[in-house]
Amino acid sequence: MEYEVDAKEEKSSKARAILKGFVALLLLVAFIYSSGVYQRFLYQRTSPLVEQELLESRVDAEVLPIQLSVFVLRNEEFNGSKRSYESVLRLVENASIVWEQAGIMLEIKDIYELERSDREINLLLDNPSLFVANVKEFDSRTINVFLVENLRGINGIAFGGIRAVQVADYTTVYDFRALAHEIGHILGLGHVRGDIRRLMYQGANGSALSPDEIIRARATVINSF
Amino acid sequence: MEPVKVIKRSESEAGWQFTVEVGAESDRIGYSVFLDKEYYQKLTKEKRKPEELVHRSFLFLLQREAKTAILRSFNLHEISYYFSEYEEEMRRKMGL
Repeated sequence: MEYEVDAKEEKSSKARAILKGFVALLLLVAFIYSSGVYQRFLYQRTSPLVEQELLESRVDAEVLPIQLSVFVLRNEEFNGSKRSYESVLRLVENASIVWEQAGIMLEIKDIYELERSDREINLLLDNPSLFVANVKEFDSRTINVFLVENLRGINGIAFGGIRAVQVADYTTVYDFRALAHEIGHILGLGHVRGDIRRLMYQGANGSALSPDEIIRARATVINSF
Repeated sequence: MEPVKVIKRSESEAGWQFTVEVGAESDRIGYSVFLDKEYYQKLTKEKRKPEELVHRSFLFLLQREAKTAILRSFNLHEISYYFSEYEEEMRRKMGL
C-alpha cells in the first residue's frame, strides 16, 4: 500500500516538473519572440554587392525629389545600428533607383548619428511621436528614416502621421527594398496581395509599381512635400 | 539635396585629394577638394573615414548654397571661414 502511494507521488512530482519545464520553455520562446533577438541570427544584412537593377521610368514628366533625413541610432547594447556611412548611402541610393520608375528621386538632406539607449529605441516603435519629440534634428518637411539593428522581427515600419520610417540592419528582404516599401506607405500606398513582384507586397523583393500607385505617390509628393 | 559622390584621387603625408561630383548626369558639377590630415584628425578624431567627412561637408554646403556657388577647388578647412558653425555641426552629426 505504502509503496503504491510513493509511486503516485513520484508520478505527480514528475508531471509537475514537466509542466514547470514546459512553462519555462514557453516563457523563453515568448521572450525571444517579443524581443526580436532572433532577428540578428535568422535574418541577414544586405550584401554591399547587391544592387537594385535599373528600372525604366514609366513617367514622362519632371522628376520629383523627396528629401530624407537619416538618423543612425547607435549604442553598444542590442538594438543600436551597426551600419557604416557607406552602407547608409548605398541603402538610399538603391531605394531611390526603385522609385525612379515613378519619376521620384530620394535625396539625402542629412545623416545624423545619434546615441540612444535600447530603451529609447524601443520607444520609437511603441510611441514614435514621443520619441521624435526628443530629436531636435527631426524635420517634418522630409521623410525621416531611423536605422536600428532589429525591429522585433520586422524589416521596416512606416509612421505615416509623422513622416517617419524605421528600417532594421537585419532583414528578410533587401534593406533598400524595405526602405522603398516603407516610403511607399508614406506616399499613400497600401499593401497589395497576390503578386510578389510588386513593391507593396509584404515580405518579398519585388519592386514594381502599378500605374495607379505611381499616380498616387506622385500626387502625394506634389501636394504634401 | 542632389546626389553627392566622393572619389579619392590621391593621398600624401599631408592629406588627401578628392573629386566630388554633385548632381545627376545631365547637370553634374565636379569639385577638387583637399583635406589636411591634421584637420581631419581635429574634426573626426580618426573615428570616421575621410570620405565620410567630405561627403557630410558637401551636404552641409548644399543646405546653404547652390552647387554653382561652391568653389570648384578648395581645402575643407576653408569652409569654417565662411560658415562658423561648420566644425561644431560636423562633430554633432557624426556623434563625436
